[in-house]
Amino acid sequence: MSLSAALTSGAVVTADEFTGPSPADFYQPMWDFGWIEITRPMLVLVLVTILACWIMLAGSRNASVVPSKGQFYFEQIYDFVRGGIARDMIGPNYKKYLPLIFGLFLFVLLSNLMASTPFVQNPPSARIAVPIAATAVVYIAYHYVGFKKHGFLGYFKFMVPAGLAPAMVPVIFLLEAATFFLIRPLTLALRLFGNMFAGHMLILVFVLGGEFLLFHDNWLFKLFSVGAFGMGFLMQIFEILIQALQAYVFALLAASYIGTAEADEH
Amino acid sequence: MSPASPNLTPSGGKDERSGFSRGSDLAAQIVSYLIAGPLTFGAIGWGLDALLSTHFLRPIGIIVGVALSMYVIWLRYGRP
Amino acid sequence: MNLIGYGIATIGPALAIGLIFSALINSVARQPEAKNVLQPLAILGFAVAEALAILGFVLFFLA
Repeated sequence: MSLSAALTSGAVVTADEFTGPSPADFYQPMWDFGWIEITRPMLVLVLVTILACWIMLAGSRNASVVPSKGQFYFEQIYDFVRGGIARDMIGPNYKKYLPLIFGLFLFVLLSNLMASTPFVQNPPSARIAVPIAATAVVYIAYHYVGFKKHGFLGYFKFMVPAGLAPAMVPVIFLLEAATFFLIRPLTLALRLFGNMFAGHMLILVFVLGGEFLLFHDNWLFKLFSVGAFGMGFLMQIFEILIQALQAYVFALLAASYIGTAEADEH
Repeated sequence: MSPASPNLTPSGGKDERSGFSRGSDLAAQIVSYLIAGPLTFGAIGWGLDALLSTHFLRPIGIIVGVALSMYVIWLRYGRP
Repeated sequence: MNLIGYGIATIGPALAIGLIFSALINSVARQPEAKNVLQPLAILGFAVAEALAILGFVLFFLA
């Protein structure tokens, strides 16, 4: 569905000239109410939210010592986030932040996997607004933790590493403040967005190119389209790996930022 | 997931952070520092350039920013 | 043209970072107790290599 929408807006199939996919293909309005426009990613985002809530409710309801199948899989994911991400990154008192990290992980994972789900095939995280919103939550969380732990001035003092010549302190403080308040959330949002956007674009290139070759008059081109579709399929499988990895990295860095703000003076 | 030797964590042991993710965030942190350095001091140099109507302060700011961010990385992560 | 130049410029740091971390993984696999000494060294090498990529990135916006 996303492909057909992309085809009508971006690529020209019957003409002799191939037009590649462009970022404009990601803008897919569905209903226009005048004051608000419901686009495809918005719809997918609602689906992701419902799915995440359902997974968490179904996995934790009727929890028993001998787990059912669904509870077992849910607990596998939960234990991965708990033992592999939160405990490693935050330290001894990680349990307070576990719901946030787990919710973020599940949300980002599901919205990434929507790129490879049949009939959806549109990752909401390939729109810049979604990573920015997820990053805003992390941003508020780790600065809140830092200010609460160290106090208002103490947090700024905590940013400057120990063992510094007094003349260097203002210069290094400037650098550290830029890192803490600007670059960290920026890289966090852009990493997720860039990976998802580029991956979806890559698949679009292969599939649209294959379609162009298939409908071309030259029979040799029709032969080559098999290779293009095969590459598209391989890239789709490769993308599933990237999607899971990016969800892991996002949760990891969110936990790492909270852990840094939570850490004692060093 | 128990560590091979618990007293070998970089912060000197007695640390519960010891799973498979330990240290895997360092690369991302370093990239943030390396972007922050040239950006901050390049912006300062650019502002000074506009103020003094010169042209050489922005490249100097960028170079100084890279050097300072590598100094901070050495300070934070480079010492065993 | 800037974009192509930056794309080419990332090849070098990419190779360097791959070499650095492959050497780190090799060494830690051979001698796990040396991780404490090796990791800061690898991190510093990574920082120096990555600085080149960042410099290319900054100059891509400047030029």
